[in-house]
Amino acid sequence: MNRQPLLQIEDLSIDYIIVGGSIKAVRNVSFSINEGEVVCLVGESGSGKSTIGLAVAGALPENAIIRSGKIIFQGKDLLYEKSKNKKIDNVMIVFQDPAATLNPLFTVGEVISDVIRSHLQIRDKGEIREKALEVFRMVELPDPDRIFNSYPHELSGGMLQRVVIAISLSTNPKMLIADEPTTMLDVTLQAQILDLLLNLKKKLGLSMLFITHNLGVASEIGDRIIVMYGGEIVEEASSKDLINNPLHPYTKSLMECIPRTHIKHSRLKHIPGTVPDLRNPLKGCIFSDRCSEVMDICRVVKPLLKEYSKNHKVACHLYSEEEK
Amino acid sequence: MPISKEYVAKRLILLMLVVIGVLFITFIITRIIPARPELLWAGPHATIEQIQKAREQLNLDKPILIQFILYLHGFFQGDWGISWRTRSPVLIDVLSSLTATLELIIIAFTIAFIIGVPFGVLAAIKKYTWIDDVARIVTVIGASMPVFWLALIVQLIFGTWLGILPSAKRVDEWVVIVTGFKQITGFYLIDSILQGNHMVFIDSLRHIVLPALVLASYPFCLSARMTRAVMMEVSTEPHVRSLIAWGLPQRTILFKYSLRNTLVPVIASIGLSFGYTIIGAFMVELVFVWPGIGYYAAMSLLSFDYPAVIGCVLIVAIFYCVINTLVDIIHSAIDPRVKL
Repeated sequence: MNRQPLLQIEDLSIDYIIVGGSIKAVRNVSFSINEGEVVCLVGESGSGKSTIGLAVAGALPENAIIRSGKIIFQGKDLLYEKSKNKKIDNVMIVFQDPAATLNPLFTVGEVISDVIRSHLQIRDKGEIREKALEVFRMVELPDPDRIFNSYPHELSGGMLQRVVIAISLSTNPKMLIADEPTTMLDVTLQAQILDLLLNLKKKLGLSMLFITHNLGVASEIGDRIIVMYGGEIVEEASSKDLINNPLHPYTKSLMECIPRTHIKHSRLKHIPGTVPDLRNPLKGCIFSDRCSEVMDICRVVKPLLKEYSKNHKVACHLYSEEEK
Repeated sequence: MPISKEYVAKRLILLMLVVIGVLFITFIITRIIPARPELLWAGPHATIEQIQKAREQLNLDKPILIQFILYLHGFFQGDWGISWRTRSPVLIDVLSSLTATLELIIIAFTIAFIIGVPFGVLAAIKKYTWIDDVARIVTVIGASMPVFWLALIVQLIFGTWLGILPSAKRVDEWVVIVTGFKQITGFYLIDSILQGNHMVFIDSLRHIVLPALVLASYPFCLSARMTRAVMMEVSTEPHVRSLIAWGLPQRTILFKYSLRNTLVPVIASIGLSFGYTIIGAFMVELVFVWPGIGYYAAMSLLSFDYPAVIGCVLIVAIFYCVINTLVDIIHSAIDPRVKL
């Protein structure tokens, strides 16, 4: 793939200011997404994956500060564009909880109309409505006319998530950020929404940054998976490589945490210890205090994200010595 | 804004229960206070026989429960008793003073709401700046200042020192007499417009300014502080964050979306304080000699005029219920999830 990537994140660091200090939520993260590619960000809660999604969408909370880095989308620096109050039509975001994402006091139609009006140069009400109904049909919503005039509380969770996806698609974006779009839905709906997203990706040639804590979902939908831990990328590989040959001890233990039904009487696994305190991140490897294969060097020297094989990067001292 | 029959029925039944409950409690309380109202009724220098006759006339010689039943019997026929002080029917007294109070508090609340909400929005937008600090200082002072004290201060400044605004009564007597002004609705501002009587209109407007401003001070501070607090809370909610992420202009997010979310709780609390203010008007009316229900109730209390006191308490209770219902209806108009 020699094409210029659609989205390129370089050395991104984001802090949250809290009372009595700051949380270094994202530290020196770099990755890129090519056109038509689905990249999954996987990690526990607090790993900084959602923060990256919000940063790309330009919707970070007010107490977030971007310490360093660039977010380059189609050759433009999004952070710079955002600071100039320019609208970014080509990146849209789908959030986790569809019921909370939509304002309960407004009809779905009102919200999508405002989104369309502010992005596309359409003024005519009928035309806006046509466009809205078109995207409703695109996300396979039944009876789009009725849904246009419905309030969020009148729709089911699955329908709401489709509505949210429709709103995100209404500006004809090149890229969709999906921040745990299926976490709040029950299993059958999860599968439907994933299918829908994959179909849309094919049909519209969308690129996607798919944020999830579920490796299983990630391997299903993602072309590439980036595993994050404590605000850093620990491993990055194609989905197949990552699932078949996980390198980083954290990725391995994540895999072990996936419940398996074919092994009888096996206990559910978990990773001992807790998510690191990001007010004062560890000096060495961020995972060192929970790692089962920890070495002396891990506590002192931070491992860098290095290529282990083609398109498979890992940040772990276990591999840096062996290879060279 | 769909309102079901059940809602109407529920509200009416509730109103009935409140009325009877309030009547019972105030009636009992006013009867067990050892005040001997028959002395007042019979007048000074009354003979023992006259006082005895007054007792019988007022049913004071019968057991309390019988008195209450007799009272209820008259009450539901529109006979709320005769005021022992003014000697006119309580119902008429109460209703005519109610309009004076309503005129005052409607204007006060309109001022409070129309200025208070934008004030709160401004403080929320400019949070942690000097504008926010000024707003906080103003509203804290305003909310904690006793109304009667504030009333005296503005009387002193605008009435006595500057002499630009009158500080007592609803209207000057001579203007009424000269222009031949008649009451129609009891709201002087409306009546004067109806009669094309601009002299009374301007005069009653001048009279209402000070008491209305004083009365507005508390609800103004309340609405400003509530608006700021709720607005800041709303702005962190996911549905606002998503609008930001979807790239809506800040103006639209703020004034179309967040403001509406903010107004739901603000209107509820302002509405309830509206009901409460009819009592708060006591002080203001006394200081400004405003012939409203608060003034009437205070005078009745001071002269042990119990039928009038009961009438006042009842009107306030009914008023409170009506306001509650109105708040519910407004709430359901703003929030589609609320069905009445």
